[in-house]
Amino acid sequence: MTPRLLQPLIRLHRNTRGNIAVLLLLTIFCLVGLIGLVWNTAELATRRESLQTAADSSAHAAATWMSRCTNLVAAQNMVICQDGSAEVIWHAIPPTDKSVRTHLERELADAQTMLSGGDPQFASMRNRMLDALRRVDDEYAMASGAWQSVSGLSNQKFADQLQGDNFRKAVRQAGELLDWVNATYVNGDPANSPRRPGPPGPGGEGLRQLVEKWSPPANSAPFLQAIIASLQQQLAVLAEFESRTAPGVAQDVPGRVAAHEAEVFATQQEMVAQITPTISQQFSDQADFYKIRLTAATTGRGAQPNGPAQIQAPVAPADDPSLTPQPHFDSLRGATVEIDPINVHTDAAAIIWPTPESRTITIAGRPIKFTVNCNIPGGWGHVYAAPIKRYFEQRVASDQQSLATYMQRIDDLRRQLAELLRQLRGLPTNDTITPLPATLSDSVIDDTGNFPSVAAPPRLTAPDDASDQLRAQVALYNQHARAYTGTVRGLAGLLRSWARYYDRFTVPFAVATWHGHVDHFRHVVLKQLGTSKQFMVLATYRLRHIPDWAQAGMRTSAETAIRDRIVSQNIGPVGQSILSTLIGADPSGAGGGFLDPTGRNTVLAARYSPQASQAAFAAINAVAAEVAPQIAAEWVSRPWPYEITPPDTRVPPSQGIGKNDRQTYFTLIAAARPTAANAPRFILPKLTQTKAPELLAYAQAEAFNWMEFNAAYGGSERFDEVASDPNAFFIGCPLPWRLSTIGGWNWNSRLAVSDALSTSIASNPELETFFTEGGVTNNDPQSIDTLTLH
Amino acid sequence: MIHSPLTPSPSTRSRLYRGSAEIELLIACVILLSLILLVAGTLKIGGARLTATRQASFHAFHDATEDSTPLYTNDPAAQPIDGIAAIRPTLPNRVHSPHPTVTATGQTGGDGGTFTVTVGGHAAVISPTWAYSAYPIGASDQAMLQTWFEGYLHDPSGIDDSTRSSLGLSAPWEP
Repeated sequence: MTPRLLQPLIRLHRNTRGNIAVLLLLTIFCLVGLIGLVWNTAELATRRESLQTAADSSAHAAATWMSRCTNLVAAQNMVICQDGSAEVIWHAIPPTDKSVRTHLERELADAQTMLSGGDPQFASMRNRMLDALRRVDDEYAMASGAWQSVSGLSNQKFADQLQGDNFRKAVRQAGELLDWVNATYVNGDPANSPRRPGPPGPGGEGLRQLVEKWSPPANSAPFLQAIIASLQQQLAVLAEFESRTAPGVAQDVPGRVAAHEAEVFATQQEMVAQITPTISQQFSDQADFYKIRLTAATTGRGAQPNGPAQIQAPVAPADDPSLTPQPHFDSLRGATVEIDPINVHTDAAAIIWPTPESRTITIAGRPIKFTVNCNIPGGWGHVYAAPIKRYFEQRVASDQQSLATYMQRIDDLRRQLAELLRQLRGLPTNDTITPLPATLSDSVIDDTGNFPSVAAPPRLTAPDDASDQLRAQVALYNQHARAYTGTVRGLAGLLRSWARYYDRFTVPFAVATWHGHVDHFRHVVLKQLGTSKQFMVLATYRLRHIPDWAQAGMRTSAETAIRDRIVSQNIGPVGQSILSTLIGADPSGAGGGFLDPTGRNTVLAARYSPQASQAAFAAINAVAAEVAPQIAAEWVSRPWPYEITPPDTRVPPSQGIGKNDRQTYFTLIAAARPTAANAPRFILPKLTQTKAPELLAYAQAEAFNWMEFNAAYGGSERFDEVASDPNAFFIGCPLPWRLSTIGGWNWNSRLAVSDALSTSIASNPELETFFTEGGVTNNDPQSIDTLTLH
Repeated sequence: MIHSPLTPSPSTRSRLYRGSAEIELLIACVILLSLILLVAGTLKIGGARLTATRQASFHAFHDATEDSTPLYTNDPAAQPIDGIAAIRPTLPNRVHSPHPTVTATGQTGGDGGTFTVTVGGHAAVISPTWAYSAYPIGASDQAMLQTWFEGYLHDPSGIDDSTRSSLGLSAPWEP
């Protein structure tokens, strides 16, 4: 029997009515909950996405403003360089004008004097040539006669047969060579041996034919009139130059440039000062636009104890207190010097080899003394206004071209005059007369199977037992042979001097004068710019030592460059000094007391030039090998003006801005949190048991230069080699370019991987607060780096 | 006990309830179907919102950093600020602020009808960076940069055009 109390439960158990309704209610409940979950998930994802967009665009905007400021500062540095270049041109005009005018007016006065008063040298030129030719013929007749006498007497027997044979051989050679000089060199016949050169004239003429063809006219007036006309044209071009430049020269360009440079620099400073409030305002606008809270952070630069970091542009004034001179012990001087970061290794801190290097070498038993210059003007590796030098040089090279065209026209007129005078005189374009050779090849093979070289003509020495008559004839031959070659060389020289007669009026000089003055004032103005320091530099710019890994390469490179420069700048003067000494001493006796002075100098110069050059090179190279390593050691020990921090470890050949510089000066973090207006709005939060999480988004952005990996700019930077420019100037670090050249004026912004996040959290309390609110309560740098950089 | 239609016998009552479950099932199906359609609609709207937000971001960054034609709106909520540009004006200054919309279409059920919901996203990215190359815009931005740069010629303290010409200086642009 069922207890009465259990009856309702038993009925409920047996009753199946409403089961479906219960199931339906449960299903509806689940489906409504599902709607809530789907909506809330989408809401959360959308808000998260929107927040990330806000962080990305805000970080990007801040980096864009950094790039904008850097680009404007680079452009303004270029304006300053353009001003400086204008000042160079302004300074170079008056001295160039004065120098060229003086030169032309002196020539004009000389030409007019010659026209009015006559040109005795010109008038006598024809007679001098004919006289010289007569003397050549006379001397040949006497030398030939003497040779024939010697030849006739040389057939006698001598006690020393070998001596006798050698004498006869020398007589034969003398005869042949006298014949060659007369027939070929003077009269223009083909050479009497295929091993001997032909006639000396440019068209295969002998001297006799050249005298006939080139013989000066009696009247010099047409030449002088042409010269005067050309000089007047040149002066007219100079007048055009003066007329064009007068308005500019009349201006106080240096004063205006100085004022303008100061204004531009003031504008740069204002922009740099305004960049922080600009970025703050941009952040504020972005926060309003996205209806979020924003903060900015850096790895340290501009970080604030409260509130967002004060984002700065990656630039600084050249006179920034952080760019103070650095003391350095100069091993060459043995004293401490102060190295200015902007004007590096200049003035009192120049790298100068302290003592003149005098050396004495002995050649052929004769001591030759000379001095090797082991310095370059301004000192090794010196550079004024290093951060802007590269563009300044480019600009001067460009600015000087326009006025150089006037100088080019003057030089062209002189070249045209040279051609006209050549045509008037009947001279060919190529008026080279081959000098009479010092030696000629014999026509007979010697015992070694070679054709020996024989002095042209050889000096004869009579055998020991020669008769008095033979001795007298040999002496007569030697005297006339020497006189003969002397007159031949004199005639050739006279013809040459005729071809060069008007060179003083025709040699171009104006372009070289202009370039010389521009070059001088280029140094002057660059030094002024460096001294005034009214421009901006990249924030990473400072004096730094060459990294350890690069020192060996830099030392080798510097040593090579210094050595090459010492050799190249000394080889000319030292070689000439040695050559003069050798000719003066004539230690080997070549031609001594036999050839005429002109011929002797020509012969000896030809003979000793290779020896002098070789000796000079060896001597200078020895000095350079001794000096260059010591200068290079000082070079490597000095700090250099690096625009960016050089890498700590070896890099394949070049590398752009390194991680530390990038994070410290060019990077920022933006973090975003939603406000009440922008927080996720969930539906049925109680039903779905969903609580909105604390959203947080962050982004890292940076300013970077498009040209960093362009071979013409950052992609060519070597840290282990000297950097050189077309002016053969070289320094011990890459030449700065990022804030003054066209390539430098190419900064852009980009989002980047957040590798500066952990450092920024540590440096910026407000960013840390954002992260704490977002649920990240412990800034574990390693974990964050792993998370963001994995 | 006398049984009448009002007081049916248990057997009769059982017969009367037959079929009510099917009716409940039909009603349940309608309700459940509607709810499922609502879930599907919510999913589509959620997806559309995400797409719109993402498109806004992509469009804004694309326009600012890649597009060769300046694309921007005159969104009053996203106006460019002058900032340092006001110190020497005439530089190009834009905010790329696209407002893309995405339409989600859902089934209303029953008669096969549909409903549409349009959702939107927004983003704001500034450009350009005033780089000399003026990438990506090129000529038009570079022309403005040139004007700005050449403005230095007209500074009262600067070197005027006639002096520049007199000294034979190169044109300031290309610098």
